[in-house]
Amino acid sequence: MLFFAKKTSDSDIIHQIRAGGTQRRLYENKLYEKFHYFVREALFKHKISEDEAESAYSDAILGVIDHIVSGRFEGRSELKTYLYQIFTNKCVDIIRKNTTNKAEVHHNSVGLDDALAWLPDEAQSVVRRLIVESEIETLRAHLRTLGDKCREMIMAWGEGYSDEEIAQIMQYNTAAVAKTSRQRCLEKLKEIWKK
Amino acid sequence: MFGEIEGDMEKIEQYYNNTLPDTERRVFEEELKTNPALAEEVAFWVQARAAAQAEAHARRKEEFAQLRQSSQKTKQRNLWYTYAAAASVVLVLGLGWWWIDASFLGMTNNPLRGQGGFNKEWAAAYVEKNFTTLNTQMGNGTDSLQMGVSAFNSGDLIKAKAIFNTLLQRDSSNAEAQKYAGIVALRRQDYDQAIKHFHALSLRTDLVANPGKFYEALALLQRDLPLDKKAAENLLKEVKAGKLDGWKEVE
Repeated sequence: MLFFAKKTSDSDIIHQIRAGGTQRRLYENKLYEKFHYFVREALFKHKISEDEAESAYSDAILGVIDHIVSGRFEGRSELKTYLYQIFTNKCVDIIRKNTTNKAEVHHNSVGLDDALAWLPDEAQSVVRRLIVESEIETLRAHLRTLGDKCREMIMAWGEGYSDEEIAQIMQYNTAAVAKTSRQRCLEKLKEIWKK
Repeated sequence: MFGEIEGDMEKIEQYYNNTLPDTERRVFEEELKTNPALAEEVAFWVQARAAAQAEAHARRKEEFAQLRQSSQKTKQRNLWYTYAAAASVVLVLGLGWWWIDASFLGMTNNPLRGQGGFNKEWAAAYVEKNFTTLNTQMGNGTDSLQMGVSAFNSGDLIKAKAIFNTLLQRDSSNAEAQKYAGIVALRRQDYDQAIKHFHALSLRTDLVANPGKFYEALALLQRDLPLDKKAAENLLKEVKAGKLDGWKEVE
């Protein structure tokens, strides 16, 4: 049976990740496993350590998942090509970092730039002045101090799950209830942060 | 306009979800430039989401690492199962072949048989056990035969050889003398001679009991030249199939 296990198609993976809900995690894992052989190739091609290659691959997978969820991946190229490009960029960053101590070129400030880019220029400057990147680490630390449910809910939101999906996964009656709970959790986080 | 914090958060989310009507969207963007509280709220929201995403990604990376480990274990286990299955098939085929071969030769329950089947050691053990002394009754034909047997039992193999050879020269059809001459040669480790005597004996068709083939097989096993073992096995097959003298030894 094992030898004849069918590989999940790219379109199934994309569809199920976009559909969200309880199946999303499963298909994210399938995506991770499907192209994991890139790591072996990178070890040979880029001469980076296994840990570095694994980390770059995980980051690339998470990036692709974000792009699938947000619709930034439009399916104009094959999923494999798209992932390979992102993964290669991550590997190049590692090589640069190892050889020149330069900061990464293809940086991933986890959605911050995307969120700021959403704003018109003037408003963006106003908000940007208020943002200190190191505060993200502080917020992460505060996030860990929240109760399990709040933490899970905010993290799911950070991963792009909709309130409807959060309600489904965390067994809230409606998306509206999940949304109210999530916003209260965010308020709680803000209170801790401001103290 | 956007004064209440909860209202602000709702508006911010609507703005980022692109669900604000155009007019409200423009108002929101204008308000952002002049309302520091709203700007702070947006800054928090953006940072909180980035923090949540970073935290979720860190956890997912750990989960991927676990997934990798478990899938590596599964792969190793599957590989192990494959090797075990292949080894089992080889073992079963090997045992099957051995069993068929051994059954055919009748070698399965012989206590004298060595690890490698009927071999030099087995033949040596048989010779040691059965040909150290000869039953004096064996040579019940003539005085000369009796003398030869006595010489053999007393360890004088040269004398025994001379007596049996003289008897054979006198009468080449003397089957007893042929047999004893072969046994003496075997004891003297003159395997070529032993094989010659036993082979001549095995060709006799006028005897009630003829251990010629069995003894020839013993001599071949002890000589142990290339192909001797195979020739001995063939003889033992014949002994077993024809229930010739010695067949119980190969049963």
